[in-house]
Amino acid sequence: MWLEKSSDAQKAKSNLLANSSLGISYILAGNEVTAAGYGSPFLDSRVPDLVIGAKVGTLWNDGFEFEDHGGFLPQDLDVPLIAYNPNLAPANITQVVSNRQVASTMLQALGLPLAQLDAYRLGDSPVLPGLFT
Amino acid sequence: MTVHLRHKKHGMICIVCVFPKHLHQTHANQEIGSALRNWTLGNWANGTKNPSGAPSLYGADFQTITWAQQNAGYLDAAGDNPNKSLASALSEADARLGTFLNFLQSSGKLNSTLVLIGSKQGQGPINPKTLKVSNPDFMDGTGVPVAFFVGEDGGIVSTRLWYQCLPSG
Repeated sequence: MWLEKSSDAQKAKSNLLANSSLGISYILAGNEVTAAGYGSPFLDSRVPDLVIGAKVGTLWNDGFEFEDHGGFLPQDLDVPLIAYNPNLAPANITQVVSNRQVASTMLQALGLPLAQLDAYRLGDSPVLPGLFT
Repeated sequence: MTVHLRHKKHGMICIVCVFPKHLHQTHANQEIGSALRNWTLGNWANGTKNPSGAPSLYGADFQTITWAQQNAGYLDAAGDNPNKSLASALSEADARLGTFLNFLQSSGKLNSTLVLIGSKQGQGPINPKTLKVSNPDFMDGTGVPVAFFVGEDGGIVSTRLWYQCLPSG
């Protein structure tokens, strides 16, 4: 959730937590968002002021569905990424990576210049490990 | 999801993803399978000749899985027991991927193809017996002016991937 004023984050958190019917498990507000690794809402307008997690089994939705969709529970955040080629050495790589790194990996595989990809040049989207020697 | 890329030295790479809403499962999967084969053969997705030949990079997704997760789901919160419809969607996608890999092998392109299979986010299983669906108005509940609220994109903000390289076979 993005507020008009980031300085209102703690007040908004308190008001939301006071309503037990919402099914809220936790709320990260302001500096807690930064501490969780999402970046600083005070420095970057793309970073939300509040991150709100639902209690397990609660789904916030307009309609009825049977699964969570894009929430903050581990089963939503921890997704698999599989690379396959007959010549790859088998490996389970526990290093946390990002979907962004797929773009850099594709350029590398195609033999295209990685330096032309902003995300790679800025340093936060390296080529996926274990594919190229 | 399967992605196909062409390497300067080794040939091609391929990527695949998992998601079609509002499409009949079998129909959607058949379309995906034939499109992947057609691209590999240098055709458009519908099978007509593409004068530019086979693309270096292409992909597809299996929306049927997300459709089945949303509309059928799992029998428990652990996700160990999918509903019959979801189990069918998973099996169908698995079979389609296998068919495509076999096609790559028979066409001599498997060794030069990198297949990446991933997802933009997970869809956490919920026990249908304890599921509580609500649409709370967070905008009013904060008591302060809200600029923007989005209810289902946590995975976009912070998706963590568990990465695996698979061997031949």
